[in-house]
Amino acid sequence: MAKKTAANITGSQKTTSKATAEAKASAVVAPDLPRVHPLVVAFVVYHVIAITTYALPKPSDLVIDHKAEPRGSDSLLLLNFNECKQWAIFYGYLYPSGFWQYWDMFAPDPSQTDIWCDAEVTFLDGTKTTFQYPRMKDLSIPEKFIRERHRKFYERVNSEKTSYFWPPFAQSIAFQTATDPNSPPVQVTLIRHFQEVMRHDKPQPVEPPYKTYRYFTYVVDQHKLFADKGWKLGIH
Amino acid sequence: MGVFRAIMGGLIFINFSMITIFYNDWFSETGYYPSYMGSMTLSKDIYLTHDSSMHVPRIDLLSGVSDYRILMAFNIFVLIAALLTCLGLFTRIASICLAIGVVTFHHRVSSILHGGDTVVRVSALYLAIAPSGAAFSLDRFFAVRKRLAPAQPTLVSMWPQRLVAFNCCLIYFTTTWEKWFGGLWKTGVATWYPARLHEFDRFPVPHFLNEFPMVYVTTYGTLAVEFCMATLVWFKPLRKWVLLSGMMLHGYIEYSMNIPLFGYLMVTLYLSFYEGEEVSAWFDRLKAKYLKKPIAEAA
Repeated sequence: MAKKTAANITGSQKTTSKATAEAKASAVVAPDLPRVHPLVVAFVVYHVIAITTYALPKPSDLVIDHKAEPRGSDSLLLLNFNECKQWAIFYGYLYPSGFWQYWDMFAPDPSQTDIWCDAEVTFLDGTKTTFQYPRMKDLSIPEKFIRERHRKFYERVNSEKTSYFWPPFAQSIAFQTATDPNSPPVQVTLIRHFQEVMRHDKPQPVEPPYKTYRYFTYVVDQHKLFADKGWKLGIH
Repeated sequence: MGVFRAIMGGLIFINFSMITIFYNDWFSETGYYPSYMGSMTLSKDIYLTHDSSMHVPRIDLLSGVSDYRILMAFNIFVLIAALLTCLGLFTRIASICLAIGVVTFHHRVSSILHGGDTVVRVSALYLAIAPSGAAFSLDRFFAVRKRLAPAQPTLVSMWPQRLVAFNCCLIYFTTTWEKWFGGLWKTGVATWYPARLHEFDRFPVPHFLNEFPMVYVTTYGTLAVEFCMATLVWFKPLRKWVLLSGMMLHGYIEYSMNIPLFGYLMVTLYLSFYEGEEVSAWFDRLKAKYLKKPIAEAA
């Protein structure tokens, strides 16, 4: 395989014309190309099969749940999902090594919900403040560029399926808003703001309103807060 | 592979620099992602048998580490490895350290990763297993100067570069297939929606581009380009045009949507479709053109 594909050239060559370069290129397809060890060939074949089987899409949920008969490529994908992806010989290599990968950019359908978050923080003295988690729409272009992970993170952790993220998320907000040991944050309420994109064939409002949902109220862990802040509990 | 290494190393350096700016948010115990959350999102051990009698650990040198200073030191270590890989200095060891570092971080904070990060991780691994410092590197420059390497080009096997190219095709192939399951792509209206998600807004685009009939053009155009990138790109007479269409696709997304680095990373993968002698010949033609030397003299 490697012989057939010739080879790279290292170093800079002093050729300038295309013809000369091509002549040199053909000259370097020499018989003394490095031989590829059969084990390397075996690894390459194995690796290609492993990443392909892992990256192939899942069949539709209806097919997985046996609620619909597999049609067309679904049969192949179902076989891959039920068999190949379960083989330890593949996932036992991909997961530990970091070669695991799946590619679903804007697929199977692009997201249709604009979403952002803030939080209401209540302090011991009863005062309240709003903590603004980075919202991309309000940031400058350079800030958007470097803060995109904040958006991605919130997209991942806002749903019920990842509710285990909510307590540390709220605790971190308490840490960031705490300034006075005599009136620390005692409660954090996470608020989701979202807006569905109107279907293309429906009348379009100029700016549809965002809906608001207070989805989690967290009682701040004072011991952790004071420890993280370096404050001493109970002497203020 | 040398040019690919240099650019990808630079992009990985930028990628990790961006993480470093908000390091506190993702890697400290007071941030959004304390260390114990890492094991809740990705299991640390991979069980190979149903009775859990055999398992292998994920690559994660920071497993159980919560000391911010150690984490920051490790981050700086990865940044240095990325820089050395970019320059091609101590390439073999630098690229291996970089791959281990990238995988470690990704296994710790998997919930902040996007598609571009997966390209970074997979590319770092390919750089580590390839002779990526054999060309276009300071290693080779110094070796030639000290007469430790021949002035003539050294031939190396192409399999790592072909793997990168295959992986690039796999990205497009599987995402096209996945999109085919979605009703919005099939009916040609998919790009209507991302264009109206304000969290992705970047630079303004002319209004008509996000209206019909252009939505049909951009939706089916995206599917066509991605499918070609997975298939026709291997057909040499069409390769240049297919890659150009891919660059236009990513260029438009990069301009209009806030998806940092992804377009640059994907286009860097395109280098793997060109063989070393083609890249050298291209550089030489460029040199001849801009240095304005007569061809005969330069030859």
